[in-house]
Amino acid sequence: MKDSNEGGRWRTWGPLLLAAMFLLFMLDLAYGSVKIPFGEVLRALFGRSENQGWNTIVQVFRLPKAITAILAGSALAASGLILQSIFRNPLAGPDSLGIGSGASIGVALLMLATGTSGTSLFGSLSVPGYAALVLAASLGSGVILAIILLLSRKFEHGVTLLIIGILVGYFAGSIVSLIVYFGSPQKVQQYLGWTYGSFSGVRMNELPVFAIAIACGLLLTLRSSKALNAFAVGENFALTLGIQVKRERTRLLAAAAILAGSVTAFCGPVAFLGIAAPQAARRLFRSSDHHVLLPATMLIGVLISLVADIISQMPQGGSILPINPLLALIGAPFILGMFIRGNGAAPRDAGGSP
Amino acid sequence: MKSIRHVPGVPERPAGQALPDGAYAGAGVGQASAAGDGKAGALPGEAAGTLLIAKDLATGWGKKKNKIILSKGISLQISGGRLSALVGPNGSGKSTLLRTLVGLQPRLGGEVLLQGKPVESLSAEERARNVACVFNERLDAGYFTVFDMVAFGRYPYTDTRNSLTGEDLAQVERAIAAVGMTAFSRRAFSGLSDGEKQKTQLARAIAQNAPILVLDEPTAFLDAPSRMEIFDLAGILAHEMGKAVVVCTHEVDLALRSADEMWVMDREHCFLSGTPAFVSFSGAIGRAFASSRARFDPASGTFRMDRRHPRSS
Repeated sequence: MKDSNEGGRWRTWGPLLLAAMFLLFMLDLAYGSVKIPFGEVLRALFGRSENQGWNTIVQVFRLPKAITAILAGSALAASGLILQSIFRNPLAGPDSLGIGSGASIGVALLMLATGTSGTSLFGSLSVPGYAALVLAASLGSGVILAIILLLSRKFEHGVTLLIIGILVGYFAGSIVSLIVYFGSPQKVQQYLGWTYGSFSGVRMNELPVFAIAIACGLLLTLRSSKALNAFAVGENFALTLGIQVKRERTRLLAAAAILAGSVTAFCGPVAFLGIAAPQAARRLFRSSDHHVLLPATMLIGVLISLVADIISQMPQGGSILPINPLLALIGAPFILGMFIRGNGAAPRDAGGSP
Repeated sequence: MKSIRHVPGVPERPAGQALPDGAYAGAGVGQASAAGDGKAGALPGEAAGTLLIAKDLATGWGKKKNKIILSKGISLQISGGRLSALVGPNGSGKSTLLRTLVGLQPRLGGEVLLQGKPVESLSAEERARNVACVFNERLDAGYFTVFDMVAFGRYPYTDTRNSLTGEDLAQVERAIAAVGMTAFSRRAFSGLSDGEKQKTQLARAIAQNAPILVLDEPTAFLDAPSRMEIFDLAGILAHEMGKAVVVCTHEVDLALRSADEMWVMDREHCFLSGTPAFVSFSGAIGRAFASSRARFDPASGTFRMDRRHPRSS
């Protein structure tokens, strides 16, 4: 697993991707309804700009949003990588565990229960309203997580779990659509607003909570990246190498669910990233070693979410585009292009005897 | 962990020299134990090289209630330097027996002692240091090279970062050389032919440095020369490297020619063990594979078309 080739790929792509990340981060701070000159952004970031308004805009509104985009991008990407490797399925993602659906039930129930009226999007929710939203989404995905983890100890095969995850997703989806069916148009509008996803709901003082939740998920993942390598090759293969399959799998599923669940709670169901980023990382770094793939996937996840966030600011009319449709709109053709160009080159597709 | 006895990597023994005939004595008719014999605990004395002992083992699926017992009363032992071949028709429970023996599947009765300890008392890592298995499973190797795949064999020995020491790397290189794949070591595993993949898997098992090797149908999907090669390698692992090799296979003729001991399971899940000559001439193989169209010929060790029942069409 100590392959000089992979090290070489890191040396070329690593600095490039890091530089791109920094550039996109600055662009993200510069773009918005009020356009701030690129040179001034850095100064405004530290409150040194002549223009007090710019200081406030960058520090209070755009910085937390950009950090949220970075956290969400890396967490969803890592979560997707874990699930794709455990289930050995390139289509697995945070959604295949039903985590997003669980959060949806929580949010839909909250909308139904509270009489909160008003506009739909995150930004306009009151602070206690937003806290309740995060709580409801966390509870919803937490309940689904508990069910999946209990079942993962009971069932031997990953495929069975994948099917269960998808079934739970359908089940939760139908509950949500029933709630929406009987909800008042106003509440439905509010719920729909949540499903569009947004990075701008997290405020500076809430960021630490978000960051700690994600750090917990990542630490759990790092502890098991050795097992993850073997899982990605085969279940029996991992078993014969002395890996405690059920224990490691439960730990990794918990990590994936914490990562995806906390993002869903704070930003809404923005799951597409989780499927796209690992695919891109595998192809770019030509590696299957998770010690390489995990940081690479997270970095690419961050890039995708920053690009999406910048584009969502593009219209200068003061409104921002919803992040969830944007991600798939840009991401899907991008990944598709990669598949078409890399056709045959990827050993995963080669298989069989020559 | 310290108390686990370890057969060192590659015991020095001149190439090509098999064990003396006397070492096979334990596998005679006397050891054959038919299934259903509830008191099959009377095994011949433990030989020095005995690594694994199963007593009155019952295998199958399910838990306490509604369990399905496939076979019971199986008693056997596995010793270093010997190649044992497990044969039987489809659905006779061969794979289940193998998985139960090495503690990867819960057994439904009896006991299994690995290095003198109950197999379930070993940690997953200890078990992996004592038993290396090659299962017949489609592997998703992605971008892993042959070297990477063989290096997986060092998993039970490396830290959580899986950093390979110089000694680990040397063991991996030696294992790749032992199966003759050195020229392929930088190639992507997923681009190999099925035979080369199987050899890489064998190398991984060698790198795992376990005294017991369990190969579950290692010749499935392989062409005839590759099948012979795999059996040849299995023989070398047993007779030159001193491993205890257990091969579960459908290649009855190859098994009879290369194994020191045969384990036969029939459609009723009855288990019988003995030398190749014993299971051939006692009719055990013929009975296990009883078919209206094919007949086992003990003299040649192969199956022949049975002309007494011509095709009706």
